[in-house]
Amino acid sequence: MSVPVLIKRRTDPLEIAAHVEKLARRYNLGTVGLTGRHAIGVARESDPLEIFVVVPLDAATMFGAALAEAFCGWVHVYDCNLVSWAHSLHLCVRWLNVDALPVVECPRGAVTVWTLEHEGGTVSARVALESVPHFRPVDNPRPKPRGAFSRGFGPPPVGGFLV
Amino acid sequence: MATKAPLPPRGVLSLWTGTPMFRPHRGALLVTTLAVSLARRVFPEVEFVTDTGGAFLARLLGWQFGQVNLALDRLNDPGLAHIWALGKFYALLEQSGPCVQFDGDFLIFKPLRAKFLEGRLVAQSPDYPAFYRGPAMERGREILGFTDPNLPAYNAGVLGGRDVALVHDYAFASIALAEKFRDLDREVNGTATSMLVEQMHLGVFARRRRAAVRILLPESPTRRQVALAGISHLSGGNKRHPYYVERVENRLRREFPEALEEFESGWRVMEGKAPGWLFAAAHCERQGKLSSPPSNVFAFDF
Repeated sequence: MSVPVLIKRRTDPLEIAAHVEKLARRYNLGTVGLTGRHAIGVARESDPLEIFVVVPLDAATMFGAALAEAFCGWVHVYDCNLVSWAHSLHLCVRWLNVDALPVVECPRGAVTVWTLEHEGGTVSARVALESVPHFRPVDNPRPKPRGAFSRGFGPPPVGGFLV
Repeated sequence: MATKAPLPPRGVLSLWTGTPMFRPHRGALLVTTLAVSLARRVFPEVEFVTDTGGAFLARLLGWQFGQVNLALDRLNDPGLAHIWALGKFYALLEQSGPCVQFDGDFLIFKPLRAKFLEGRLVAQSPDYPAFYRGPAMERGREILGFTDPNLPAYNAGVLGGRDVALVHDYAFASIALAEKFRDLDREVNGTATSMLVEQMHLGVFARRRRAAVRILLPESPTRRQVALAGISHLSGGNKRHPYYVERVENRLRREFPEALEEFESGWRVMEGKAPGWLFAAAHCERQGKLSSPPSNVFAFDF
């Protein structure tokens, strides 16, 4: 029986990515993406882990629970194919186990404005969405189907790792 | 003069199948199978306080107890049926000695600490204050007069104690509080009500009676503390989650293969039956109308 591994450094992107990769392989999810604050190393202890998957959410149930247990906290799993191009989660994704990047349509010519804090001040930068690796610019992106695009897992039950 | 060693507590499991909150889910029942098997290793005796439906379920699924007590057959008040914690209070009132009542999703892997078992009142841990906020909880707290925002609450995955009189007082007081929620299930749902009259009330009761509640774990335990305590509490949806159900099944297969086999055999009889099947089958058997479980029930008269 394999024992769930604890992610010891809960805000370290590299440690988290290694665990996410391993679990995604174990549960045959293919390409997954570590996103949100944990992907860019600015997460606080209390921030949930945010993961893109390219399979239906039902197929990621075991993965989500296992990751929540290893992470000892909340995990939000998003179906990348159902999350609107306008969602900020698309902007900083650390893709793992990549066999093929997902393709998300975005409006041709769209830009996003990033506000960064730097040395006590703020800096704005305009970034073309076409520069995001998994975005494909089109003239009229198809609207996403309505419905749930994410699922939350956790926090893990007390002593779940002992079962 | 030699002092007598204190009586080890009895383990108690209660199950009220007469509440509409009870749903026979395979995962949850599998977890209870493991909970019962583990409890038999750590308690000198395990008593099952239940109703006719629960006793039938236990026989069908092969749960083994030192004693089966049908005290919960007396719970037939529709106005209070949504308050599933009532079964736990009546189970405590059936005890005449030190006891530790454990939930069906509470797994005890090794003997509980002696210091914990010496407590006059015992519970799993302090409960998260955030669980007692929100519209239903606020309304419930208003009804009970529990409006102080700093009231302690306890997770009652295990509940009981060495002081039988104190435990009984707590149970009586909890039952009296539950009366305030008669026919209020649309305003405050059964789970919120049960958490308030059981878990938050334990904190209020202990404070009023100046009795300390011994706990197994702190509010946010480390993995090391949990491993030392040797318990798991698969609360809420976790007992139905396929990730944990698979682990429970594997554990039963390794350590209690006969219990798993009996469970599977009983579950094959139950699976896919109409919702009222358990209740009807149990009562037919009790009235001597059946020698084996019916294949299904389409209509019944009582």
